[in-house]
Amino acid sequence: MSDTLVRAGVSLHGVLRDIEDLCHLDEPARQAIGQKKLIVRFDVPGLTPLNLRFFKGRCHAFSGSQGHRDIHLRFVSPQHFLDMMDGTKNPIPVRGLSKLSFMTKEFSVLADRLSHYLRYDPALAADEGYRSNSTILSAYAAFYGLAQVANLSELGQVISRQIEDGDVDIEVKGGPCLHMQFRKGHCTTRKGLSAKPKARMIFKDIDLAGQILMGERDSFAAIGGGELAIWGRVPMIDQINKLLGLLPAYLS
Amino acid sequence: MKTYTYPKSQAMFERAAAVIPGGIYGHLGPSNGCFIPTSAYPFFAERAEGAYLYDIDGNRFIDYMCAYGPNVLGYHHPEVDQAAQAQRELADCTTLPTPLMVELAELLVDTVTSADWAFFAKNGGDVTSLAIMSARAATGRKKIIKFKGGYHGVAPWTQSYGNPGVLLEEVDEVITLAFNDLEALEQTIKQYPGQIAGVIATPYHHPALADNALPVEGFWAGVRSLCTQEDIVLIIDDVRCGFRLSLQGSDAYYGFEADLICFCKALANGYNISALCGKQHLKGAVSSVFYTGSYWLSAVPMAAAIKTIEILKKIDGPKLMRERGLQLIDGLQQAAEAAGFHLHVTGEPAMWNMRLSDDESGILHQKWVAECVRRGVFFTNHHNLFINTAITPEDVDHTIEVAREAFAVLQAERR
Repeated sequence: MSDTLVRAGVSLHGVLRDIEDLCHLDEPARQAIGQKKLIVRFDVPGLTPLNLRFFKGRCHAFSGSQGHRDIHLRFVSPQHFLDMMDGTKNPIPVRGLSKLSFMTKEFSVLADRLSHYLRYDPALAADEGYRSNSTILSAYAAFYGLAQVANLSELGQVISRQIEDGDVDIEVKGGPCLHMQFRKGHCTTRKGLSAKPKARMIFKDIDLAGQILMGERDSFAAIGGGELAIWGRVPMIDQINKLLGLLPAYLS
Repeated sequence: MKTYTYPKSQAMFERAAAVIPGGIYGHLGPSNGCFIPTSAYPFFAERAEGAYLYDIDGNRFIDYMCAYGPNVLGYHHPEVDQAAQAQRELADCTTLPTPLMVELAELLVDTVTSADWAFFAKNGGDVTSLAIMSARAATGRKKIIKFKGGYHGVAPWTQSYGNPGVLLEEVDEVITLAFNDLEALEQTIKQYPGQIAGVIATPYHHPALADNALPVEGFWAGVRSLCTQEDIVLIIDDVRCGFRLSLQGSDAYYGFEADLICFCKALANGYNISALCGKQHLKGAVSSVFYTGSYWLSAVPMAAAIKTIEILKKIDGPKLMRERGLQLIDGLQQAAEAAGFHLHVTGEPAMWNMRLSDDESGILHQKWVAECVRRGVFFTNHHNLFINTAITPEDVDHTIEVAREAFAVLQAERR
């Protein structure tokens, strides 16, 4: 798989998927979508499409090419999608031409708000709400993006094939909880904790999670210091750490 | 029973993390997966004596990790230290080696069945890598076969593609098979005729983070036969087992002879030295490889190694450690059973591996080990443990008492 495809996968299913959580966490984002009711599909060659369903002031992200969609945006290549994420190119709408104003108005606000949190501004660090939202959204983007790296990148596939089947919980005290499912070398990220995890990674707080994901803290030292607790099947955690090491190269 | 806390260790770790990558790196570090939860473990030692390790908070532990193997006679063994001190007063790291190098090589040749010569270095990884290079030099071939989970050091060829810093080019001539699978070995050798330089393996399978496995009947005879037929160099990595199972080498213990055999850990009771020994026909290949290090011919560790081997011979160290290991394993398993748990033990008694099999994730085992450590018995979660000859029957009894109390803590959690 090309690096461009992996980067597009991380941007689509890691970063853009974050709109779901943005609409939950951020008041301006919630206000922007109001009571809109529609489904937008992003269709990138080589990747499972991402759907964003807006309904009653919330957003739900899900993967798949089946089912109803109000707006269907197609891209000619993964690079085309990355260019859209950079704001230099537009997608090709193949359905929902009459509803496209949603993309230029409401969705545009969402994109700006997401960028506001993901492009962390140290000048706003004193704002606890900003820092918290930024870390939560970065964590979701990272761990959902991680599955793309595991499944699409050459080295990620080598690593994920070495991971035994099972679930690994990732818990941030006072922050998000999710788990990564590994099945026959394929990785999926799910929200919430697993009913039967084989391993657990517990970050002591949201600041630590943010610092580690941003590369400001050494995760090995954090484990030693007890701030990042690990339990269970150590080889699974070890391989996840290797995947995390690959991630920054694919995060635009 | 009093449980330990580690404020000084934790404060020192904070200082370490500021100036050292990972705080404490490598296998002694708390982030390597063997110290779970890290809060149960001390990080820094103040001193050690016999079977005991004392941390900087003043806590005493019966140390069943034995510095991950080197402590075979007990820390600070007086005779070994005296021999080392006597040599230190004469010379250690100098421009010329001392005659002790020859004396130690002669002692190894007299002691180890498959040794016709000896080459000295510092760490186990120094000599496993020398063995690989020598096998390639001797055969003119590229490929190496190793076994999945087998630990041979940290050089890139020992690691997996995907590990940070390891290139595909550094590992793509290394084929990894399952230990004890003689058929797979035979097929692989057929698949690459005239291309396999060496097969490297530990004498029995003792990976970290997994159950250990003794060689199945016929495995080593089959491997030896295939290697002989195909002119493949059979390398035994006896770094961890060497001098704990047998003074003749662990190949002899399992009834075969290696072409090259690597020693370190227990060779000098904690003084830093390793050795590659081997058969006469490979002596030329080894001397042809350009391989050296600043401290490799230092004399003090050689004096310690000679004395260590002499003492191990005198007291029959391997027999003693096996018996002590069996006594401990029996007691631990009985303590587990009495508390309603199942302790699954694998490997050799002198360096047994254990896990509670009541929970697939290993979290229950981690909790039990943590309670033992907090009460002064130093186990790690996911590595084989080690016996040394300084551990007394009373130490074993005390360990079993601690284990019982640790099981009681798990029982209370279950309720």
